[in-house]
Amino acid sequence: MANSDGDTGGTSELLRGIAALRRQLSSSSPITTGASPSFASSPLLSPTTRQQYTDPPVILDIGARGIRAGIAGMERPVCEIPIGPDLRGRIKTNVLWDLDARNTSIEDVLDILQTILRDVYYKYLLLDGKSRKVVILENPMMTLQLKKAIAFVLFNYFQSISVTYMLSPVGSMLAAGARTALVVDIGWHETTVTPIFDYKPILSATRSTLRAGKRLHDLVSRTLKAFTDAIPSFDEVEEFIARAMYCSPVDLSTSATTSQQAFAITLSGNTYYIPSSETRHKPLIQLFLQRAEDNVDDIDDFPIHDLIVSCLSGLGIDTRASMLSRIIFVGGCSNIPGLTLRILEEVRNCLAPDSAGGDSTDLYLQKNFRPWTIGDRSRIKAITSLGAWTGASLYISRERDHLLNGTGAGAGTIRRIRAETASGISHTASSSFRILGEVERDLFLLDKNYADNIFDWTISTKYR
Amino acid sequence: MIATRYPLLRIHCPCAEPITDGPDTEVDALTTSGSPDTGLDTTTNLELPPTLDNPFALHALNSLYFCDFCLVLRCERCVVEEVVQTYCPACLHVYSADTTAGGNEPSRVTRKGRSDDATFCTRNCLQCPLCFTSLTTFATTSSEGSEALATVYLQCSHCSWDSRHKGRSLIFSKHTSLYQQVRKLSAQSVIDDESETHDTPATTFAELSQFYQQLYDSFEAEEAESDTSAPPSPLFSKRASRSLETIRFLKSHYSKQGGSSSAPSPAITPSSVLGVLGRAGGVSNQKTREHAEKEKERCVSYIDEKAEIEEVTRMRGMTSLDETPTLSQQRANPFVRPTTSSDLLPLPTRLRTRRAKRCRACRHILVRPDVSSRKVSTSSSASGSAAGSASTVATAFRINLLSKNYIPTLRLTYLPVTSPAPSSSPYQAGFIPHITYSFALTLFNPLYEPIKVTLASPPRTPKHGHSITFLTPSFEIGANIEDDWDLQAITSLRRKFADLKISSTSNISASSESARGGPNLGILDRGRNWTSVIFEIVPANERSSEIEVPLFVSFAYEAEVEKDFGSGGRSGESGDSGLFDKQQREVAFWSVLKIGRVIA
Repeated sequence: MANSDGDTGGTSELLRGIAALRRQLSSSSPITTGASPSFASSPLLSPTTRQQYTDPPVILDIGARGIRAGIAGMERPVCEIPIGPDLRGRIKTNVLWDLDARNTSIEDVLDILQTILRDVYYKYLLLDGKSRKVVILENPMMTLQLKKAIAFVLFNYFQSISVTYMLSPVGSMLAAGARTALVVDIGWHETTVTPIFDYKPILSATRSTLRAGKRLHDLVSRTLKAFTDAIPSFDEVEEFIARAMYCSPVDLSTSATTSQQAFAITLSGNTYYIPSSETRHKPLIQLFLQRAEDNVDDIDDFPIHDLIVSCLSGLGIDTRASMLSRIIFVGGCSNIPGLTLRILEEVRNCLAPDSAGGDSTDLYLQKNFRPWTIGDRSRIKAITSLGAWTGASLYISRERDHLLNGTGAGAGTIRRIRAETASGISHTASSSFRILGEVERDLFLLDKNYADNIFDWTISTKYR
Repeated sequence: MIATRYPLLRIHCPCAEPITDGPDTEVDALTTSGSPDTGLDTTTNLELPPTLDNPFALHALNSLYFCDFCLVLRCERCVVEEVVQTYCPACLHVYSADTTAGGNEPSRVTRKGRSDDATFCTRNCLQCPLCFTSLTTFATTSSEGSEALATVYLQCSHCSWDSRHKGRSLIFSKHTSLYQQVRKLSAQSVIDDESETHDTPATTFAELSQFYQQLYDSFEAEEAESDTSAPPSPLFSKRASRSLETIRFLKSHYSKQGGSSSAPSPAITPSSVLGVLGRAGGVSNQKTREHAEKEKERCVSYIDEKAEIEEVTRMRGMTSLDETPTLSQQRANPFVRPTTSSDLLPLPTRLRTRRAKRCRACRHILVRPDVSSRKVSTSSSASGSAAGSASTVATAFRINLLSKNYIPTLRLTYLPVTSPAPSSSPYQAGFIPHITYSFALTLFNPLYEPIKVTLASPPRTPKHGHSITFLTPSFEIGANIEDDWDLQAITSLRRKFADLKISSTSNISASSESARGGPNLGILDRGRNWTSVIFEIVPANERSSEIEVPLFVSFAYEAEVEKDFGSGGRSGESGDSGLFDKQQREVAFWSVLKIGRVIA
């Protein structure tokens, strides 16, 4: 190596050798935490370039019905993949997990996730799994097994450098530009209300209800069957909900102007004409807003507006004021035109009705919320959000910019991060940037105890 | 639901087995249990792998790879993939290739400062928003005036979607960089309906991005003033650092006041504490703080209730689903989510990847695409890359260890032995219970060495109890050597092959004759590198149950391995025993034969 007979060729070779050595050294330092060399931490698998630590991470929004994926810094996810039967007939369900953990086998979740994430990486993102960090948006109600399963798939099959879970309501709030918000996520299994005050999610006040996409799907399926005598398939029902349903912002049942318009749908080849408002509007009201007959809904079965009100009532009095004017609606069902307005209207009716009236519970509430509403309905407002994925993308890309090239120094200077992160692992490499609460592959795959506990934010372990 | 076409062969990959059993131990256990010596006797206690009925563990032969180092099959889950090249499937333009090209290791795609454009063809390839086929560009007719030369429109050759017929007529000003033009259009599409205040997601995102940048900058400035132990994330810092300051200040305050005496000193009054708090930024400057708070949320925008109501009234007037795009059409647009069918814009074409694949256990490269043609074109067209000179994707592979070149291919043929021959094959018609069906299972040997095959299956299928009988569980297949094969190779192999051939030819005549006499002897027919054996199925009386036969195939052969890896390779071409070592190799795998359904 040292013989430099052809001077230019020799030196360049020398330089290359040094560069290779340096690369080796720099890559070995961040992964020294892994105890013994193994299948997972073999040097060939470990990321070898500095770039991998500094590239914008992949952001995954994994929901029960679909996966949104993209790279931090983009305004929209690159792809949105629904979960459903695939061409090879391997995936048989339409949901990644069931709310009842007993009906979900983790093996199935692993298989399906692995298949879909493969598509995500190689068909849409066009990236190696091992080249990027991953940020996953989690619902506050996500189960631990599921979080572990997702991390396992990413680490084991895709060799991701690290996995970070980020609360999806926080993402939704960031994408709205707010620092305080009440995020209402109308998802598939559950509708979750999460208050966030000054960037801090108040998880103790988080409420959820089963009145969500799945219930709506079942109800619409029954309704369509009643009107057409055909059994609509899962996809047909979903298309109907997404493309035809609407919610009138004000209560129309009193004015009795229900139009007897007919609506044409095609179910398994046959065209049917169904009454418009009965099928397209009523199920929404019945499912999301109608209280139980005797006004005693189960604790996990509140109508959405009652859920919002009960969540607000559970908050401290200093946080309520800003929450009232910062309600964010996200989730699949919130795209139904008019639904968010209608829910908002119902919340207003509860807390600050137009005219005196309502039952005793409402009166109590009205009195209780008087200091913040001052009887003014327009104080209860909703704000627009670009969605949880975009919020995460904003946050991660800013955080990355900030850590990689601190604005004070010139661009390209890599700043050392001073503080220790939440997971308590100190920084070893200045050439990397860490996201808060990052979980690294080697630790996760080698240390079973670590893997079991790291995602549980309710218990404080030595790892956190 | 896609109907299964029978017969179907799927090969089981043991990588999906429970993690506690490594794939290696699994294979070892199986090979010993189904070793050729014991044959049928062991099939009684043949243990099926637990994931044999998991569709994710079953693969078509063509989608499997074979690691010739570990001697195991590798499926898509037990390979590590690396993107080597991205290209447009429509124009075959290569967008990125390996830049480092070091040694025999496929290097990574480096995409610095990659934007989302990196996943789309940024040339002129656009897709139909309705049916996702490629759109064709047409020039507008000359009747439209002198500008006609420069204007083009798009048309779909499959569903005849036309860019001129949609809500707002789409005619492009030039025929190049259509992608950029469409991108620009999609950014405008929301502003279109005259409400100027309505922001597109793109502008909102840019605004928010800038807003957070400023937030970070202000944090930076604040941090520069007081270089304390600031928390790592500025988003959470402002209040936190302020309260930290307060605590520190109070501490020092109290320590000054309190000192040694335990009695509260008169100096600590509520007002003094409040003053301290105020100084630390808690109470004072209410106005400026409120202003700052407002400034911090200046990007918040309230829901446009009027627009929402308009949307609802529009939806209410709808009479069929046709007015809104389908969900897949909505999801397909990467820029905006279209709400009405007339909103649909041509879609950019997503790039595809060529990937290298490695065995997950030993890191051996199983597949490596050849990207050499690209390299030539980059060096030549480095200057004129903007013009988009021809650098199309290559289709060749440098390494491609497909499983069909390493393990026997199986083919199933129905033998109508029953005297009233059925009019249609039972695959379609279905199987009648309690009738013996005979099949010929033909195994083709792709290897250059003769192999000794052992088949094993449980006597009854695990799910429904259809009984299975293999008449010949153990047999030999000749080598795959063409007649016009390289002469040298033949001479090197002939010696080894000769005695075997003699024995096998005698076998052929004997067995084929006897096979015609009665099906009991098992081997139906035999060729140069293939053997057909008979097996029988008696379907159990289980209505419309699928007949799935688990089949364990193990084969052994003597491979010639280079003795010394370091000594200059094949300089001595004699290929004699001096250079090569004989090594007994044994490969085994589970497969599932899906034969058909029992008549309902």
